[in-house]
Amino acid sequence: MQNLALTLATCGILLGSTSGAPAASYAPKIGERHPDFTLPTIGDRTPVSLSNFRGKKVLLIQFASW
Amino acid sequence: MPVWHEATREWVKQGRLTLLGVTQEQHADRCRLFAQWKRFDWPILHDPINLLEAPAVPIIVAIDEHGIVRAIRPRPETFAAEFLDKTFADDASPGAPRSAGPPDAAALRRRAEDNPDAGAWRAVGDALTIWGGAERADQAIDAYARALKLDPTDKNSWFRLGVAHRMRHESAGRRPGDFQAAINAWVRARELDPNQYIWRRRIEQYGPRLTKPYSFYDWVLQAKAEVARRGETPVALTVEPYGSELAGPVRDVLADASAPSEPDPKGQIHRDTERLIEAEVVVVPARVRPGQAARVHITFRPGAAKTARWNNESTPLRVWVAGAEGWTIAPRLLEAPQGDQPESVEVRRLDFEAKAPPSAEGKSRLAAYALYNTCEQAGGRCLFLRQDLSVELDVAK
Repeated sequence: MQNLALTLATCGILLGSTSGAPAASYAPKIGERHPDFTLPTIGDRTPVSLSNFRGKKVLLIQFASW
Repeated sequence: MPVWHEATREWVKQGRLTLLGVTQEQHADRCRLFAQWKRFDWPILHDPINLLEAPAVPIIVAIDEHGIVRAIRPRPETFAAEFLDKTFADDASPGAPRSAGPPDAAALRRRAEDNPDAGAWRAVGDALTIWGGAERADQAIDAYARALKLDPTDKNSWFRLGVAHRMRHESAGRRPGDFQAAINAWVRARELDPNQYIWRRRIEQYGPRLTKPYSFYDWVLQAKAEVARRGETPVALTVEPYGSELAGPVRDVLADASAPSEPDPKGQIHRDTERLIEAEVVVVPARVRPGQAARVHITFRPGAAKTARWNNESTPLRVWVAGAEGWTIAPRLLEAPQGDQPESVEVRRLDFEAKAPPSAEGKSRLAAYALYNTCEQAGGRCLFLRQDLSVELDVAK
């Protein structure tokens, strides 16, 4: 249950309230910690979290092939 | 992306920087092909449902060793001095807890059942769509439907419901109407948030050329050819782009100048009464204004009994669109590529555009039919058949 609470807490920050109120769009702020997230890789669908890279400088690139 | 890939290559090799991609795309394998073509060797994550709620792409964010954002849309020429060469203090508040990994869909469901609200059910749908894939699409669709019953204005649930329908449409568990349901859900999401660029693009991908900003997947053919020339095997795509996904934008829908002749004007070809081939018609968008165009997609599958096959040793699958009074149709005669074996069972897709006359209003039915060569089963009786198609468009001011 702790894992679940953490996941939901993360979702709450990143995806807006879970109460059904309008969710805020992605809006990272300079000087604030980037909200963590977990998504599968495009290859073997291994789960990867942004926080896996703590201790390294990361360039996060959101893009599409189209 | 290629700019950053090139600019940071040495830093990545030296271990000074990690590139992490997130692709806003329905099909992960299309991004895999793109990455193979461009030789992207950094991890790329798949966000088919826009979980991160990116309003547009690309978005580039520099994050320091403490997880703190230091630059948004950094410039390559100042990136080293302003980010890479600097040592940052851990000077931000702790922020939200770290992600605990993939969510537990069953636990999320129990929570939603105990305390139902739209966000709780959306979270169930998200977990199932991202981590369950097409096998769990039925449950994901159900979860998003529950979210939308509680809050019909939950725009994210509308968009993600469309993704789940499209996912199921492309799977063995497909149901008639899935593709149209995906389009209708995406249109509803866009109505609720007209500025969401990624959602808009998802509809335009399948929409008429009049409203397309560019061809979305024309690069696929070039990528496959170049990868093959390098001696590599291009990533295989589960759903090849076709028709509208490859077509470039136009400023007007032009009637077919070649004026092809109708292949069965007297309706003499026997009808496919046993539905050896199933045809599904989808209109993108389902409702247009007078003078606007829609893209009509027709998906053909060897029939429900799964024994029917395409006969590739005769004329190819063709569709004739007679249209309706005042409508501009382009093209009127469509033809699908043949399989390279004598018989095959693949899904075939064709699409055309229909532009409504300025005076149109209400429901219009376009006359169209398909002609194909099919065999009842492997090595069985082969027939040349016709199937009349029902193409209905709704025109509203």
